[in-house]
Amino acid sequence: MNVFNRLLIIVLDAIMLIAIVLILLVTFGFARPDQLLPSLGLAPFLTPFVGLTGSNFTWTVGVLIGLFILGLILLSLEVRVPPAPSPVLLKKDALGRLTVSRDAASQLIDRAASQVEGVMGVHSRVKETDKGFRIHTRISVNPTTNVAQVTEEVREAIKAAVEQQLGRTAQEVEVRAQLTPLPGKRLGHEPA
Amino acid sequence: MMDQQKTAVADIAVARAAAAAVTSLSGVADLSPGQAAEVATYGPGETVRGVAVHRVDNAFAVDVHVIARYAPATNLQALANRVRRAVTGAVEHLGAGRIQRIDVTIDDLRGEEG
Repeated sequence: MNVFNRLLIIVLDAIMLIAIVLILLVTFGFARPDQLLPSLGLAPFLTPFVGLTGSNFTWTVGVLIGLFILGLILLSLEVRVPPAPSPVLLKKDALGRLTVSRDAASQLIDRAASQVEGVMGVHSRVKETDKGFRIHTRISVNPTTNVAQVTEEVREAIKAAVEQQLGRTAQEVEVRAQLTPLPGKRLGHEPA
Repeated sequence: MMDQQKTAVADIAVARAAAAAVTSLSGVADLSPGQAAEVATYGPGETVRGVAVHRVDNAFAVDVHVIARYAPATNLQALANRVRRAVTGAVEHLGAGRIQRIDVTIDDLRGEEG
């Protein structure tokens, strides 16, 4: 989700939470409608909640508390910063750990794959297992090339890059080829 | 007397020496301030980003984050080993004391295109 959408949801959610608090204050009789933010002219909207009794009171309070909890959950999900993906391990010994960020490992693999003739775009994801790396790569290929051959060459190029440039084993390399361009800026050859 | 001199070397001096040694390596484009949290050592009026120096059991633990210079033959594990040796050499040259751990992370790659 882009930043604008996220900000919009946060602002709307905050407004909803404030409105719920105001309505609850009026419903429970802690404040009169004309006392709450009089400059905004909210009294006409708050007045119907004054003096509720019986099932009307119960339903109103129940729904408002439910919405308030949902709003809080939504707000906490939107404002939290997603954790950075953990780096992948190259080597671990008595003197410490040598690691490479997942993004840098993906970049390295993308660059190796993009060197294959006929590859127009590359995007890789790296997963780490006990036995080595599992790599999932999507490539867009030039329609005039032999897709099966390009895919195999990319697989070999990725295996070689993982072993020679990262010093690890490629346990699994999955390459998916497509003729349509990949979204976003990707490494590769422009079609002639 | 010698031990007192060793422990007197400040963390920021160790970080500064390590940073200089690491950035002088041919495969290192720059130090990286870290991705998940800031990696830095703070001293009076000075911050060394990309190198975090801690003391563990009267020894140094150094965390180094770098941006590697990409070339088709780049071996990142070999580069990380060179970074580690450079840090070891710098700390030994300072006479700062024992190193317990050096963690090296390559955060990013920088190619010829920048």
